[in-house]
Amino acid sequence: MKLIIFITISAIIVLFSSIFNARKAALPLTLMALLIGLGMVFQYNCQCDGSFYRSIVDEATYRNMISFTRFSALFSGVMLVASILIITLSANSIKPIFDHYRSDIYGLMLFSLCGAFILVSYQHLVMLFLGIEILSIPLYILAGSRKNELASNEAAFKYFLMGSFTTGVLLFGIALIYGATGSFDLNALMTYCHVGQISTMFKVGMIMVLAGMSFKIGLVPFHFWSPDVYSGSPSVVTAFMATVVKTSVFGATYILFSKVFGVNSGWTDTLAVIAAATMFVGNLTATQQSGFKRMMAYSSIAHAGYLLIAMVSPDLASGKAVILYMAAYSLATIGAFAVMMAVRRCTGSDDINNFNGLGKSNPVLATALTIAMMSLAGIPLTAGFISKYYLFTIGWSGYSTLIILAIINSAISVYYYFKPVIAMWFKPSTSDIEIKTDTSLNIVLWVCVIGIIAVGVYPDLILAFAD
Amino acid sequence: MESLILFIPLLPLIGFAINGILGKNLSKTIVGIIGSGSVLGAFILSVFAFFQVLDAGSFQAVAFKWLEIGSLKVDVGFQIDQLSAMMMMIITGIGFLIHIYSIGYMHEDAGFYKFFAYLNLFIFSMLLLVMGNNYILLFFGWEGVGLCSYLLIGFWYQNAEFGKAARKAFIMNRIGDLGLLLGIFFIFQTFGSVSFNEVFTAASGTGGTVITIICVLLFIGAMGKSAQIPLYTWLPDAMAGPTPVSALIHAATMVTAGIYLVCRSSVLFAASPEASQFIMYIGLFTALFAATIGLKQNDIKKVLAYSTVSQLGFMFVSLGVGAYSTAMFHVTTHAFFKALLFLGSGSVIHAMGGEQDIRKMGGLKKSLPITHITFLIGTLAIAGIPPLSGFISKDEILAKVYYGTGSLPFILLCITAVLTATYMFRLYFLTFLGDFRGTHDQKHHLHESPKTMTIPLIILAILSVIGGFLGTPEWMNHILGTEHILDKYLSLLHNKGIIHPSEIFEYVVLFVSIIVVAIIWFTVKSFYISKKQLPENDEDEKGFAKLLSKKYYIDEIYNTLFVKPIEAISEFTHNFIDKMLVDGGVNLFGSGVKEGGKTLRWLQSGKLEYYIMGMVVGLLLILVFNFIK
Repeated sequence: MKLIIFITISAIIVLFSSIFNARKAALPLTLMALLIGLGMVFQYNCQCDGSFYRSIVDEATYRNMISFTRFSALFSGVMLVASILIITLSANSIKPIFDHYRSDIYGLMLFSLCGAFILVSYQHLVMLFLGIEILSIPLYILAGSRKNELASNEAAFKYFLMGSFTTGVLLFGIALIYGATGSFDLNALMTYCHVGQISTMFKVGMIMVLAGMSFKIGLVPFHFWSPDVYSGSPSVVTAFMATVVKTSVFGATYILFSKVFGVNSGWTDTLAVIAAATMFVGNLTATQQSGFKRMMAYSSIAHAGYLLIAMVSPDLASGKAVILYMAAYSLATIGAFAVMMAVRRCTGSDDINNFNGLGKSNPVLATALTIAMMSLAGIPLTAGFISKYYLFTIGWSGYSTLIILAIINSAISVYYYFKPVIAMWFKPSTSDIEIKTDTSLNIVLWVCVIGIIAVGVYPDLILAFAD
Repeated sequence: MESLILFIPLLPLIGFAINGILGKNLSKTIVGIIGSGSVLGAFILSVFAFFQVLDAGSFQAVAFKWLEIGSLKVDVGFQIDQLSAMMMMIITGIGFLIHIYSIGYMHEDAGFYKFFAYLNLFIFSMLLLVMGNNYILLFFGWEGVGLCSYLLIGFWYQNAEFGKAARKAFIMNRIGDLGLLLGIFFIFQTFGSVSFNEVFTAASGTGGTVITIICVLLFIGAMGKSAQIPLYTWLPDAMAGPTPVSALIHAATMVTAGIYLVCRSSVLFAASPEASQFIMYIGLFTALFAATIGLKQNDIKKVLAYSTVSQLGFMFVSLGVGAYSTAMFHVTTHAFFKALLFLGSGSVIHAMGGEQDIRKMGGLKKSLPITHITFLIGTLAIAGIPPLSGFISKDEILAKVYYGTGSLPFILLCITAVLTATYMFRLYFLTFLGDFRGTHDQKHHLHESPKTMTIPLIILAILSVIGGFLGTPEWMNHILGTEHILDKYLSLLHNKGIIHPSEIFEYVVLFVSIIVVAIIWFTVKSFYISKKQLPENDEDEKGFAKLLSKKYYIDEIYNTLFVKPIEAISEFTHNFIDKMLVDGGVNLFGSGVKEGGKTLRWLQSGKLEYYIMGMVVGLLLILVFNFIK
């Protein structure tokens, strides 16, 4: 709770910095706020002991609205690290004509982050709804933050329209659940699901809530927005959506479904089918993409599909698997985006052909992207492999067919993840534009690469926090 | 001491790392110092370990836990006892001499640093092999030395023939390795452990078919590494490598790994008379067989190679009759004189500018005095002149066989010993005596080798002379008041009853040996020197001699029996199974993915109304399917 309050205040300060003509302070202020936030999360995690899902603050203090547990702390930690990397990445990547709005962009990101924190710590369905809105509304604006670019406007508009549509579905679902149980409180819902017969009204509500959440995560068939929005939005925002937003909504869904409703209340079959469809749609369509950002959009859809394995697994350690997986996925995705941004800035487009010959002209960038891609594809010695391995092992006790499908999909994914790798190392350069990087981008790259390999070799780096 | 033990294998590994990574930019002197120095360090520590064992008995040093899979627990741990300490001394001691020798021998080679890196890696692997306290670590070292052997045989890989020889060695060894690996699996299945201590404790006093199977499988591994019939053909070809390699790996150390394996597992072998019998006959047959081939070889190193195969056969015979410490004794003396002979031949080849055919040598006595004397000592030692080391250890084997199994193996072994003397004297006379038969250029070029090469020769010659006193026979003990040091030292081996040959037997053997060897000496000398006979060209040989010079056509037989059918099968699997089934399957999957992707891409039209419709239809479908039941 302190974290949410602190980040909200920071957001307001950052937003106001432009009024006081201190726009230059926006970046350091934001980074500082995030680092302090990370410190708070770390300290909180150290204080906690025992159960994964118990808050050290009495839940009644916040009227049973918020319960900040170790689970929340770990998710928040992953999101904070991702945000820090993305904001560092943005230091030089915001175009000069938009520099005027820098403080607005950071402020909105911090607000969105507050929503994300609420989503991994809510104790009440109203808080879930509020969290989703606090998360989404800044995002609608961020997606369109390149005011005079048509693609950016289109992305914002599409995202907003479809987002409000699904918000309606979500709210309807929450209303039905309230109608069936008479309560918004998660503890009451848990008792309802584990004790008595589940009514039809509750079940319909559950499915509608699932549909609303699926939209935010980008699960088939609610994924249509994501390729368009991902490719239209500014890259920094896309990276934020692909990592932080996905992590938080996934956390929220995990809390509500796996923890509160439980795997025996009849939603797992549906989700297993959605998981299989999501993996296949994401991976198969990704093979056909020629733009890097669009490819990454489908890749993020596919990874959400893999993650559902943890949701439908009855194994109690599945929460840990989700955290490890999200951390690995975020590191690799941000690393890949960093390289893509360097290429795009210098060549003007993110077409995979623009990566040709990068292995010769800038081997550092090429190596970093190769490692990120290997991690996403799940090649051993990277974080992607170990997290996938952990996830699949835990999922085996649930839907084992799903694991087999996921493994087939991992094989398919190698095809498109290695497209840029092949372009970089084996194809001759098509133009003589030099791809340059800057310090902040290099820092992000190194952190991602070292993180990927360190976690890949020694996954306890992350798992240790969850024990 | 226990922590210092870790440095024994670690030092050569560090040497390997430095020379392998940085060697290209270092001067040859520094590369040589690092390479030799690391082995010298290991030798000094091995000497300490040796005395530690002598004082306080064997001990273990565990570096770290390696793997733990189910009930399989493997440590990287070292067992330092009499057996391993002795092997460590041989490996690092002779290894060091050969490193020094290589500084001179390889000086002109562009791959100098690579050579030293490989040699150091070899020493490291070999040390792991003999120091490990479990079968898995032994296997690790076993594979490591196999790899180094492969790399060093093919060291001059520009020559395609040498590359093939390296591959042959590797494949032959792999066949043996399979046996060893299966043996280890059986051990684990039977005893539930792979650590020497636990296995041997569990195995002592047992017997039966399982033990025999284990022993035979382990011995198949030994067959590959120690070049016994039927897996011996790689060793003569392995002479393609630089001569120091032949001396170190293919004479003194690696090929004795098989002997070490059997000695280490002597508990198991002692419990299986059938397996022991099998080993004895294989060894006996190999010894005789290789010795006959040796009679008709004209390549100086090939003669020595067949001689090595034959001598290894001697050692296995000794193992087969349960005289494990005797086999180790012969390992030691053989390491001395065979390394000496190989290094001597290297010195000759060096002087002859790369020539290896003894028909083109002769009369090298004058130009290479030190090489000549030391080579002569080596020859006399292997031929069995008392009291040189070769005589004493071979004599002990003969005695053990005579009392252990009976007369037929004994007689065959005696014939082998006679053949050994014959081909060695032939080699010596053709190389060093008579007139020079090479070209004028070669004659002009003849020179004694540099000190880095001759000093190791001298040291090894001294060892070849006195090495036998490690295991003096009874009659000598009587006269000199000495004792059989090695038997006492190696008491941990499960020798089959200590046999004391009667003194009459020993004296008979002694005098008969002297007389027979003298007769051979003069016969061979009159044939090649007085009558100036030269070996015929391979094509002109007839009858049995041709069969010998063609090495019984074993390579050709293997080719027809194994290589060609396997190639045919590979051709079939390549064309049918791989290209059609596997590739076809993969391509089918690939095009399926592509088509699927194209179809799904079409769904992503970019129009908002379709998207929302898609979502609504999806939601409705989910609801319908959930309530249809």
